[in-house]
Amino acid sequence: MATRKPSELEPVERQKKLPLIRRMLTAYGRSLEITKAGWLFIVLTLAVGFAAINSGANLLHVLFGCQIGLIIASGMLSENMVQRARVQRRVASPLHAGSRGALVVELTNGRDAGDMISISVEDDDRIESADRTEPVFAVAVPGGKAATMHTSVTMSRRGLHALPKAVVATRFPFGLFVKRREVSTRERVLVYPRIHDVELAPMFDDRRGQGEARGARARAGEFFGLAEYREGQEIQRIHWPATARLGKPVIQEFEARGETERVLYLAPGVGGEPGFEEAVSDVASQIVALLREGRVATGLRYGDELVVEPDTGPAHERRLLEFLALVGLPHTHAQPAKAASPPAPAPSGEAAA
Amino acid sequence: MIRLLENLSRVLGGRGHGMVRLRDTLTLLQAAIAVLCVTLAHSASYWAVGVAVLLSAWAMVRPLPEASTTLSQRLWTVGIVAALILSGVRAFYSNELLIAGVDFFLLLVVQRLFNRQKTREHMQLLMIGAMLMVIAAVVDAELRYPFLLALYLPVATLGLLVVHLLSEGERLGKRVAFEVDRYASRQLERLNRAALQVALIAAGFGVATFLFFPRFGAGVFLRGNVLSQESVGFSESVALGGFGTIKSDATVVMHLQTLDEGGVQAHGSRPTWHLRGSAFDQYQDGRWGRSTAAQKRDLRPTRGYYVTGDATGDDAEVIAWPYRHSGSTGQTLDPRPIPGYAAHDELLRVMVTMEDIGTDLLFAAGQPLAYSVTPRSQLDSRNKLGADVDGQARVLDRRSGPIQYEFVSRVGEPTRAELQAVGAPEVPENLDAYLQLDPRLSEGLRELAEEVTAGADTRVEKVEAVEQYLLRNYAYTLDQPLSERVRAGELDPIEGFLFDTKAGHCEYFASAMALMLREVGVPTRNVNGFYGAHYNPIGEFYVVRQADAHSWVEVYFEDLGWVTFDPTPPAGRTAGDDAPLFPRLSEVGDALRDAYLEYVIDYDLETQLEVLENFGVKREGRKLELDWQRFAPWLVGAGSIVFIVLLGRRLLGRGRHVEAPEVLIYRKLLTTMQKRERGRHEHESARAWAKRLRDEGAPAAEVEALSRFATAYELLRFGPRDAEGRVEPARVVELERLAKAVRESPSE
Repeated sequence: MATRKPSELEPVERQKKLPLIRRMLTAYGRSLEITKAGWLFIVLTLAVGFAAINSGANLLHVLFGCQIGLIIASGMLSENMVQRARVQRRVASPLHAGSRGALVVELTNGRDAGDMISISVEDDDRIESADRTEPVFAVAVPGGKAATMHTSVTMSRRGLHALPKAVVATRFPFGLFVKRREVSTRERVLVYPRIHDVELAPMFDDRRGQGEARGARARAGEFFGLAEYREGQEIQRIHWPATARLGKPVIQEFEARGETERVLYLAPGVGGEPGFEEAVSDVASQIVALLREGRVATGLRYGDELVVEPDTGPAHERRLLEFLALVGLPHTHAQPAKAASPPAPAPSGEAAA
Repeated sequence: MIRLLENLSRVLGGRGHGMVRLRDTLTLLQAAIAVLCVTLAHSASYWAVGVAVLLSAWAMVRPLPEASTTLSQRLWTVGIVAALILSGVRAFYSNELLIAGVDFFLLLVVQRLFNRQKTREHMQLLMIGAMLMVIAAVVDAELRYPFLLALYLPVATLGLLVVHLLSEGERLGKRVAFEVDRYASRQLERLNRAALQVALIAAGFGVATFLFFPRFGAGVFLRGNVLSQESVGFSESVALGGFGTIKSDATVVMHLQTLDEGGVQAHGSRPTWHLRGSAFDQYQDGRWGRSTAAQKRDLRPTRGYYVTGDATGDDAEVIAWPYRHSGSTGQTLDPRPIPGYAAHDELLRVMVTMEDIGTDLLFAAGQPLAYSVTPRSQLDSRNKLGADVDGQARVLDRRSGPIQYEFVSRVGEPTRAELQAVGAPEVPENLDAYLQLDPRLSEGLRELAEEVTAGADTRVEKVEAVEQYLLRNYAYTLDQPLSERVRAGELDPIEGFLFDTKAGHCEYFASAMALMLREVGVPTRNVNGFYGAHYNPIGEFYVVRQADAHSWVEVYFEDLGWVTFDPTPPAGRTAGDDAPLFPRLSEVGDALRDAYLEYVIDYDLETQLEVLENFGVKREGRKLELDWQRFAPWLVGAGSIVFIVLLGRRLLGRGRHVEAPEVLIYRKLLTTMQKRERGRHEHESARAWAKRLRDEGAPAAEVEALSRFATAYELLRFGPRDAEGRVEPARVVELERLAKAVRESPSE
């Protein structure tokens, strides 16, 4: 079944219409939800209570009390569990729109005494969103300790976005009631453009690309010279003696080992327009394919401006993808209202400097 | 506890693994406890329980398919629907609604066990278990129920917790499901602790509800089991031989509490009361029955009592309200004087709590004068009494379950002189029924009776002659031997007893005496009931057991009425006198049971208000007021207990500090090396110790082994650990191996 790609500018999160009972149970900041088993248990409890009151049988009163106790214990313990949970999420791999990226969830038991049992971190099901994370679940986290869990996240659009709204949820101890607490911090992540498979052969056939320069294959990898360090370049290329001498970071440059140097072109456009988004996706796919193939120093021209000079390596790939992640998007669009903001990447013009 | 659970899981948990196996075990265990509860309460058919157990065992040992096939699901659905219809039909026709319902639940348990792939089925199993426990709570008033409930509660709680964890796995996807199944069992200790905490909270609420939840309703009196356990000898027609089967049954059928002034000092610990229940006037083909010509007296309600009497008036005048109204002991009846009967005013007043033994008869000692039945609830107007023939009192509209009543009887017996004074009067026509004889009885019986009573002129002399003859010449036995002639149908069983076997139990003695006296013109009737009672000094009450079932004779003495005679040898009367095994233990059990019935099962609004008053909560009209002077000590006491528990937990927590396994291994090695006089200096690390030994020229193999151990130990002790601060078990095992290598290295 074909799924519609959300536009880059339209909101991806919508409040879901919840059933009446759940709306009532979660009104005024409450977070209670009753599961099917919970309803069944409540009905059974009421039936036993009715029988106890009607008959006056003392053992039925005991059972009725036990059941009420289980319900109250369920409520208290589940509230206790979600209150002590502290969650931190971080992306552990490049994140492309429409593809799964690795996400690390660190779940900490915020209190020193007592275990935290049966806690899940999952997307808030009251919100309809195209972005989603796979839920994680911890059976038990001892007091004051943390559990690190690995999962994946899928973001639907490129740009700087908050991770999907998550909740810490528990049905502890018996799955009768669900207690949720919103995870207050929504970490922002830079989502690179969507990529697809690209065939490299036709690109190498066309050797008339702009800025094309050939290197001598026999000298590939040999020392070329020193240059001032630019942010984002690989640390291991820093030439420490020269850096010490000059008092500023200097890196070594080597003869290019690629056969070609290629500068890709992206026509200016507005984020959200299907044509522009498709072009961004194509360029990003080509960049990834070329740089991972390893032989082509790749640069990017946006309109008339050479925004990223040709180069190779993972850091260079990140530079290119970061530019493409934000190109054409209004700066405010991707800013979540209350996000604790990590430093935003530099705008495209600066990155190309 | 955890190891026990794990071992149980291996045995009972089928072919699953990890949490799945534990889940299977726990749901099976809780269902087993619940089924045991209803079975012990006689609320399930034994055949159904047997079949359910066999099928459940099959379900647990067979390889469980990944998912149920559509065919098997359809077959189960058809089977369940058919069973539902059959249960309905059975309930309708056999009037066994409860048992039919429980049997149907057993089938549901089996069906869930056969299709237990998903947690949904296990949740349903837990719900069915809960339903069965509720049913058992309604029908089982025995002391075993709270014990089984105490066992059920933590098992079901942990079961619910484990089912919940696995259902979270199912909900959150295969990855989480796999992780929960495989790795959550490592957290079993924590889960067990959590389940125990929840079970304690639930139990606390259960106790609080029991104590303080107001009994709005009828306050049904259910002092004992609702379902009946039928006893022989008290039906409309009784065949000889039935008592032989129950004379070794120590089941308690009655609790007696004397309400007169004397108590145990007056009555002794083994009173010889003949608690009469049923009486018979017709004997035919080895069976006692009742005729329409039997004597009938009246029972008239007066001031809370039903008083016996006849057309001329009541046998006694009520001078005080019965115990259920007044709550007081002492004399409540003034018996009508009987000329020539000095002991006519020797009365016995007893409160009886009788289990449901399948009869609507009330039992009372001597000659009953009045009864008062405690209603089953405040709103209950039933349990009215009616007089039957031969002085029998019956509960009209009797419902299943125990019954509590008070009786006042005349237990003073006429003296021999008073009986002798009656002489040998003509038997009036209205007593012809008590002279009836089976025409098939032989002449030999008449001849024997006449021979035995030869020379006896008065009625009492004839009675004594027959009684003594039986006591002297016949042996007591429970074996009920039948002679060849009886088997061949040539003789009546009583004649077989008298002429051939000359041995039998109480029914034979009593029947023989009754028939022999009738042969010589003395009106008699056969009476069945219980003989004697056993005082329980712990509970301060008397008990009567099934084994005390007895049969005796009543002889009519004109104005003195019917007088009891017992021809059974005294040793036979008290057969099964005590509980067969551990009588003292049995007394403790009876006392506990009685206390349980009194303080738990019979706990009512009145007692509840008393408890509240003890706590300092008073009811003033519609308001509740707190008396701080009485409430404060309870509050302080509760606070102190909480404080002590918390303090103890803290102290225990300190004392329970468990050394890390690698430290224990290291300590053991230190001891070994100390013995070799190459111990570690206090300031040395493990590696420094090994280095010093190398420098000092210790055996090379030992030093090499110690160096390897020291490196591994320091890495394990001070190296990285997982999030919970634990080390991998494999590394501990490796360290143990290295330590062993040091210990086994040549020391010279």
